Amino acid sequence: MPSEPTSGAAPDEGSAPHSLAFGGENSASLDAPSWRVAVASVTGPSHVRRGVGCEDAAAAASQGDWLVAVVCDGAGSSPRGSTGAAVAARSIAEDVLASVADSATLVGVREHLQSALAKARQKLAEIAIAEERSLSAFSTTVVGAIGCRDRVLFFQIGDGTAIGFGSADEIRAVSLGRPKEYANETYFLTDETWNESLLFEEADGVDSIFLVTDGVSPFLLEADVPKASFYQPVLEFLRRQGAGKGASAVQRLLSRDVVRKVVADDKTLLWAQWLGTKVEEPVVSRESAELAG
Amino acid sequence: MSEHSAEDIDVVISENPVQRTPCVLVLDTSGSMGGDNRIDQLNQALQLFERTIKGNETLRQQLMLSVIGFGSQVDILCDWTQGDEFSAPQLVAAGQTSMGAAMRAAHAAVEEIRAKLKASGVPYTRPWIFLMSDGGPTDDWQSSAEESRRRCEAKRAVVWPFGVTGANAEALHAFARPDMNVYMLDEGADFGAIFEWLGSSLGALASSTGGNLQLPPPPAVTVSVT
Repeated sequence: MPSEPTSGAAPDEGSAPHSLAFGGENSASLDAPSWRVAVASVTGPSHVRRGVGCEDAAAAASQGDWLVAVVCDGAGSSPRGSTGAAVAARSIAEDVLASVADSATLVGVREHLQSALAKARQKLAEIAIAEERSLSAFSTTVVGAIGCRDRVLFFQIGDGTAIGFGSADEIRAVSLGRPKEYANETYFLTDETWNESLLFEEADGVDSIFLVTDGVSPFLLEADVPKASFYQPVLEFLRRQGAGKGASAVQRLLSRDVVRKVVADDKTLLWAQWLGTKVEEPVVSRESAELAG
Repeated sequence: MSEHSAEDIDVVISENPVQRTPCVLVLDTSGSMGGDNRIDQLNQALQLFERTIKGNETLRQQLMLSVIGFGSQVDILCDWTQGDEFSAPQLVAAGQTSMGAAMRAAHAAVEEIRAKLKASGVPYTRPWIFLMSDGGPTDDWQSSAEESRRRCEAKRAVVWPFGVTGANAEALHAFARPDMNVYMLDEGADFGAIFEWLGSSLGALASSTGGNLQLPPPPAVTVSVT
């Protein structure tokens, strides 16, 4: 069952954390003083055919100059993958933000992240014990970003994609995850060796980021290279329309028939933008205008 | 034997660089399979399997099949071939049960196709070995089973052990990963239903992406061997 998106926004206190988190088909937005976020998850046609819901989840939290954003893809082969994704996304976002909020740089953040990943995994292990299931029943991938002003550390376990863009849409970093020999297998947070499959990418000069689950990767990438024909109109629209309208538009985009026909899997796309840099008014393209629905 | 030489399969792969799903059928053709018309029913099921594959575009293009029969000897009845070129071999029941040697041949076949797929740069799923027997191995099989299990645990293949009435479930299980079940067909075994399950499962495997494979349980009695 999809969970209702939650918001811990505290608009009266600029330094208080703002957050969102949901599992299943949903959309949500966040307007924090330094970052804004739009995210949507859509159930894949193959999940509809099997009578299961969307097993993706997303979470984001921001405080001061900091943003932590996470998207997770619960494994369809795991009976409780959707819970694994929802618990992991929320837990990682909240824990990382709490541990870095008083810092001013990304130095030491990797250690905080690894602790947060271990803690999320432990939470899943405790649920697994309570439900008399194996931890692998909660298998989920993790794609995330920790932003401090315009510097971003991307992290990833399993498939999915993360991209950092500069203000002129130039690619600042791409995270594709560690390749596996077999096409239909990936790494999970619940693996014994999760720490070995954890990958990092760091970038500066970042204006916007995309975090997507593997259902969106085929639209965003061609031969592992970001496709400007996809990301440019989407970025343009989101920067212009902002988080609230952006989340609804992303949900409409991912629900289009043509998108559903190409990829049968669940799809999640999260956009976040650092607001500390001056953003020039973009020229509105036809594709961008179409996104407005 | 297949009409294709090893060189041909390289060409088939490189000319159509779609994701591939390799599977080896390792089938007992020992004398006991001649009882109760089992070998005839298995042959009919193989022909049904061929029709299933050829009627499914995903399997026609993406399935890579090899068939190994084992009686007193091990016979490569069908070398690696693409689904659309698969022709069900005619099995003849005779002799002992050289399961150990057959499984060595199956893993060698897996390594061969893996090397070819890797060299051609096409994506592929973890190879399956479908092992079916109605008896127990009569050759020096223990070391082969240990090697097979080690390879499964190293994620080089998945062994699916299937037994027909009279099968040694413990021996079949020894070739697979410890957490795998053995699937037993009762008297009046419905080989057709098993190969129907295999065809639909291979279709799901061929279409699957990142950790999203879900398979229905085989239509057989599940035996958990510890």
